[in-house]
Amino acid sequence: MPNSRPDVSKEAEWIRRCQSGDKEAFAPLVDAYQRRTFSIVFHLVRRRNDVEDIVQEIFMKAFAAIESYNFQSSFGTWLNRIAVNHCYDYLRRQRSSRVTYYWEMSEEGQREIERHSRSPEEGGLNSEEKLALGDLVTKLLARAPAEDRVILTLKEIEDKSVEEISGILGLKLSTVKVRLHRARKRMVKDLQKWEKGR
Amino acid sequence: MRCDVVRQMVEEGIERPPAVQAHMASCPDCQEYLRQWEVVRTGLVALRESELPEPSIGFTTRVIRRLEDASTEIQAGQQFLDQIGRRFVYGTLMVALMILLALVIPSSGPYRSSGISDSILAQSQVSALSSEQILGVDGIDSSDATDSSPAPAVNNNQGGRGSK
Repeated sequence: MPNSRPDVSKEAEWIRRCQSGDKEAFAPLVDAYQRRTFSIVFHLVRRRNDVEDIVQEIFMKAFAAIESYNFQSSFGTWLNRIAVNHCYDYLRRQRSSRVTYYWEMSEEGQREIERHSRSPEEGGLNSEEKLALGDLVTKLLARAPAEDRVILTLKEIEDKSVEEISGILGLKLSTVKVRLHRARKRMVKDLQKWEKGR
Repeated sequence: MRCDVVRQMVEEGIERPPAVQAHMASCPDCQEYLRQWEVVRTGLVALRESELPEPSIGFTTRVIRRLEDASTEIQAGQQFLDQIGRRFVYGTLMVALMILLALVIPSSGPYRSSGISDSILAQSQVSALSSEQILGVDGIDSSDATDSSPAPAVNNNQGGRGSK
């Protein structure tokens, strides 16, 4: 399945054809960007069964809006912006119907975290411990406001730079930094609650 | 240094200046915050390694097909709107025409025609009267004209009463 970044001039040609209404020219763009869009959507919504439908909707939206793409940012950043906004709306809709909470974690998972939260050296964790810690963080993220979840996912999971996040979210660098700090503080506070509630 | 500033720098994982290091060494709250943040960050990094869902076979084809279906639906919708719009325009024109006719017909219909016939009748009476007057002035026997008037009938009635 093609995934590597396409040649810039070819990509621009496909985009222009799409802008003039050629739907077939959208196929190579979908091929080129589907995997990274799956990644970002999965990390944001974390619902394996919903990811494909969401990504399809994102590509539909992208084609509908492709006339507005002006080549100022990269097509990937522009597409990521659509994906993040779509997931943001999805998360806000899902927030009220969410049923998983961090205190529902299995005892085994809790023990793993308890053992390693004292010295969470990334390199020193085995796969089970990582899984348990990932499970805890997934649950903390599920409780977090959509805004925090989006920015933390982009920075810490998708490993985007502050500049890239600024481009995707359309925010100033300073605003991204402030929001990141606020989101991290909330996560730590939520972890404290979890630790006290054990 | 303020705890919040120190924590923001520590979160970023950038090299800690001596002032930050000194603050961290002397502030148990910041040490605890750093420990907890490390737990969260390690969990977040662990999520990077989670297995990503793969696009199913024919994903691109389905997207393109959906795009084509959507544009067909839009075209059908536009055709429907066109038809509705055309009918609406025709309907509006018809209503406007009927209103116009309703406004015009009373002044040019039977009412006006009776008015015309009345005026024609009045004109003929006037012309008849004027011709009678003209005849009287010219010295032609006007008793015939007087006889033809209803006056003798009145006279007869008067005569009838007198005989009683």
